[in-house]
Amino acid sequence: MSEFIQTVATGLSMGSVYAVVALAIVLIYRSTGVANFAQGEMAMFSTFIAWSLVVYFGQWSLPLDMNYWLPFFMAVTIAGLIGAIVERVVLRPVEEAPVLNSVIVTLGLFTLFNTVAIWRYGGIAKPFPSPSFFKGGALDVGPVVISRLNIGVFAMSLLIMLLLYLFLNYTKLGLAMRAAAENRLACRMVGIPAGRMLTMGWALSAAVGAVAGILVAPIVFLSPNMMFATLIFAFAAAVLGGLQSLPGAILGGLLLGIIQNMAGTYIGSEIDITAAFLVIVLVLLVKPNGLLGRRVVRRV
Amino acid sequence: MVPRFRRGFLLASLLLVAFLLLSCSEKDEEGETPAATQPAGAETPTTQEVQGVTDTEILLGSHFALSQSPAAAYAVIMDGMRAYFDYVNSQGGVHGRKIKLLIGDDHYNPADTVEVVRKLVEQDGIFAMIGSLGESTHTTVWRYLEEQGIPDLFQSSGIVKWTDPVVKTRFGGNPDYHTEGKMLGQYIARHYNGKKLALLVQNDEFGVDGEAGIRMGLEGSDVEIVARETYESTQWDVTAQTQRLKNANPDVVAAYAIPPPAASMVKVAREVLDWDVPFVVTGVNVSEIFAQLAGAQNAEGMVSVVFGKQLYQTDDPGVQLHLQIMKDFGQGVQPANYTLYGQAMAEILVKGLENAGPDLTRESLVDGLESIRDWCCTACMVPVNMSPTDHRPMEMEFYIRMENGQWIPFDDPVSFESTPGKVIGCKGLGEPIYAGEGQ
Amino acid sequence: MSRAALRPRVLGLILLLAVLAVFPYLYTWPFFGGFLDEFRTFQATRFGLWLIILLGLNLLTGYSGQISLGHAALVAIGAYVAAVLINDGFMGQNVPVAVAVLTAGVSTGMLAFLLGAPALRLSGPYLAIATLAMIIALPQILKLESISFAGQDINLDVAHWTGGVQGLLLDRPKSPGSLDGLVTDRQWLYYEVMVPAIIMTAMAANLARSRVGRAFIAIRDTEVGAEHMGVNLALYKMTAFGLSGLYAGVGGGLFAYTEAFMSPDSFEVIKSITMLVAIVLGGLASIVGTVFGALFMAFQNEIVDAISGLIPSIDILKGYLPTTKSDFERLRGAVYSVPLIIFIIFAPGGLAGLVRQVGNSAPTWWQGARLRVTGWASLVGLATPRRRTGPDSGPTTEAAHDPEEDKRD
Repeated sequence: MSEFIQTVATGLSMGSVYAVVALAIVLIYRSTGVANFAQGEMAMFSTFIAWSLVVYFGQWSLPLDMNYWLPFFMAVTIAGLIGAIVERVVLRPVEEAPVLNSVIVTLGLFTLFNTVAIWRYGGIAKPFPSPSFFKGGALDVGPVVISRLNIGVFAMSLLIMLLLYLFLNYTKLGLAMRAAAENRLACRMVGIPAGRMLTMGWALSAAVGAVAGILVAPIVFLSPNMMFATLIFAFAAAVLGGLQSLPGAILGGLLLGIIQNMAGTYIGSEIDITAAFLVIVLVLLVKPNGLLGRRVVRRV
Repeated sequence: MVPRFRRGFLLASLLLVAFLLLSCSEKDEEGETPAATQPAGAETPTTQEVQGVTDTEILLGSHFALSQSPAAAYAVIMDGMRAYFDYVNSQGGVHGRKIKLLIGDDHYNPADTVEVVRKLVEQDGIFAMIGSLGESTHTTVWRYLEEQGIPDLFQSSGIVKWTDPVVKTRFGGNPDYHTEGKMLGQYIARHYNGKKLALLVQNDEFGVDGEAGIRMGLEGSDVEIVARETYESTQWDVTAQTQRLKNANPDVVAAYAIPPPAASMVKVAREVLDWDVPFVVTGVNVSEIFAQLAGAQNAEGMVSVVFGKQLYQTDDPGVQLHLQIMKDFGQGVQPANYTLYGQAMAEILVKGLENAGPDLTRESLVDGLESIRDWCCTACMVPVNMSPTDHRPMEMEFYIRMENGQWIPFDDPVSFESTPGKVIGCKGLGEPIYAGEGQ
Repeated sequence: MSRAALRPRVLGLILLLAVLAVFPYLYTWPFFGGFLDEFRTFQATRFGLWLIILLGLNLLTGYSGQISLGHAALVAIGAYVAAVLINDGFMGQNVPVAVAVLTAGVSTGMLAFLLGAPALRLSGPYLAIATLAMIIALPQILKLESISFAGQDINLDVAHWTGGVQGLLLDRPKSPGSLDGLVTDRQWLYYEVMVPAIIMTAMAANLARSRVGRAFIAIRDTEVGAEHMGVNLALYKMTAFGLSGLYAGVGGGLFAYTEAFMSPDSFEVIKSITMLVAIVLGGLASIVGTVFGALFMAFQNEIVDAISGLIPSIDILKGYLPTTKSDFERLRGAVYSVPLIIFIIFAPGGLAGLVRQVGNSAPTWWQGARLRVTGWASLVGLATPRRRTGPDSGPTTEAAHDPEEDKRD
């Protein structure tokens, strides 16, 4: 029995990694309607920027763990800027084109960020620090052992989800962003600058992506391909939970981690990914818009 | 106009007929080496002309993953090779010929490797291939290279089939994974006889070959394998697998894995699971990043095998030479254990070219390589021995242990040499160490 | 179409077929020897392979609008089926190549047809992920040896058939002995691939203009409308998948035969994505576009090399800007992706769309480009986007042109 609980707990740890990246994906889908394949690479790139800053600030020993948090916030801000620029320059022109074109553009961005990262930072993996209060060994919660870092990732993803939820539902700006995503025309008619909302949506999701990357880097090690596998799982998790739903992203991520680990433990680690995706397909058959997704009404 | 329905039917039946006609193709008989394809009407090169060799230049080719793949981390091997060739060129080249290295980027995708290599051979006209990266990538082209008679040298991969059976134009690179695995297995058999072993294996040819080697090394011993976990080469977080290994309660864990997942395993085991089981890992982890990724204290006491010098040995003249070469000719690439390995491969080739003499042909290169005996390159820690039946340059390795964040060799070297020589090690700038001498 | 308008088209087609027929021998002729050689024959064979594969994808994604990220999985399945049949034969009998390839095509087609069933309820990114699942899971399945379920060891041993992690090595393909001296192996392979490719292209063109093709387009544009017009959604959607599987299977089978090696890594996620990029670049829902896409797949390395060669080395700020040869090698991805992005912004209909517009003698592709550029200009507050009419847009009033309609949910 305790093995079962441990399996679930480890699965939750893996899943929290997927969940935090899935949040960024859902956010951008909600605010722009675009499935951003470059999300992982942008997050990875921002994490490298954070790493350069950590190395730079490493010359001084700053109090209050500022050696970590200063690069953290700076990198997240820079990521937001990058996201905004990308939207303005590259995505804006393809908005009116068929949706596949924006997918292609994001795929091009994927390759671009990946290439520049390999060129600038090299392909060899690097260690990345974690914040002080997540450091240290594992916590023994009853019969189960979970690392502090994984708990930290999980807690952060819940925190981000909560903040985003409050932002999108209870602030004027958040509501304006959601409105811009749903009906750009109507927005313009009531005076909401839809274009600016889209830019902000990208900036925000790039920032969330950066946070995800920085949190995850100590676990999977920093390298230009660190987000590659994770991105696909995060996408699957986002779809599983419902692309329109932020809590769905978290739920999907955690579930995916648990299923993958259960399959690995009880069937065999050679088949864990297969089993996880099989489950996703089965779920989609029953609920085509994801577990927490809304049924979309298509007007004829 | 033919009515649509009939047109479609017509086309479909045409297709069927065409297929059946084309099925007259014959299967190649096993074992026959087909002659190099010469198109009707093209010129046959005279015996004076050798592809890729002029009076002033030797053209070499290689395929690596330079982008879009985690394997791009190993592209620095190529930088090490190229830097050494540029160094040799600056001193006049070999027999008056300068060496030029062309690289094809195959993104670690076997389908792309075919295009890249065919272009190198047929359009760029290379003389030989050196140092190609990847198991499945090179498997798509190894027979093509063999058919075309292009010397296929020193692949950056150790699967056994490159040199077993021996093919005239193909020479292996690293000691093969069976050899390494056997050494790891024998170490475990010696120190953990009667105890339990758990395995972590990368789910591809690299991992599976190595695992076979470990099992070979365990033969005849009393070690029980209690768990076997795998992971895909893109999955670097092996928390789940490590957890399952711990559940099986082994006394020692062996991993045939590349540095990031191996380091993840060690880190998770020590920090998260509070588990102090000893680890034995494969030689690809003997690089400076391993201690950084896993944490030096976590990795303390780990055992592996090594056949080359390491970058931290800065008081070794060979390493110093390498650092100087990388500084002058490395085009800004950071030196690493991998660049050192690349240089070693380049040095062996240059030695082979020297042995081949001024009249350079494919045969003379092969003869030149096969005649290398008891020779030490500046970047080598073990001697190079080759012969017409032994196409692996180095078949000797040292055991090595992680102490204070650095991999330190211990014990005598273990030799699997099929052409045994008198030299048992190398030091300094290619100085051989003979049996009986102190190190 | 009138006979007069038809004549140049037919002549052009005949000329093209003639060139394709003698292509492997062209380089022995004096003029062509300058830029053609045996390597080009190999590339042309590759082009033929990709053409077959991409036709299937375009039928599915371009014509019937179902985004599939798992096409590479179908190709891989076809390749393995053909490889196993060629290698091991069937029930002790040797299987000729053509039968193996056809079987691969048909079986992959049937599998894809069945896989289309779950896809009926999914669309957009959800469908994309479901198809992605195929290509993600396939390598593990191909390498599978045994699994244990609830304590029991079940020996599935797929790896025994597929060669597992080492892949499958086939015998090298050879031309029939009776034709020795007339064709080399490579030329023979060219014909083995090109002839099916041409025929299957003709089939696809025929299909696109037939009832089935029209049904596909109707489904892509408006599912509800299509249903109202009497199109059996389920049947046609599944048929689209099945056809894509047929093409993928034949293409994959021929791939395995010409390469004589298949590994679980040969067709993976990135390849699947690249194929999608290729057909969008070439032009969705267009046979000519698929040809362009196949050219892209076969020649992308050369194109990237050519563009790389044009970029000069700038010696400022070494380390921050590319300066050395080593740098350029590593930045190939940028040389690949930046022109890609720029191209898709300025030519949303792909290359085929450009050709069509130029063919229509409408100068509006430049106007269309201006629309894209105003996105840039708004960055510095110079211009605000104003929509103009062009041959591709429908209603003329802004209110009616709702960009939401272009986005499938």
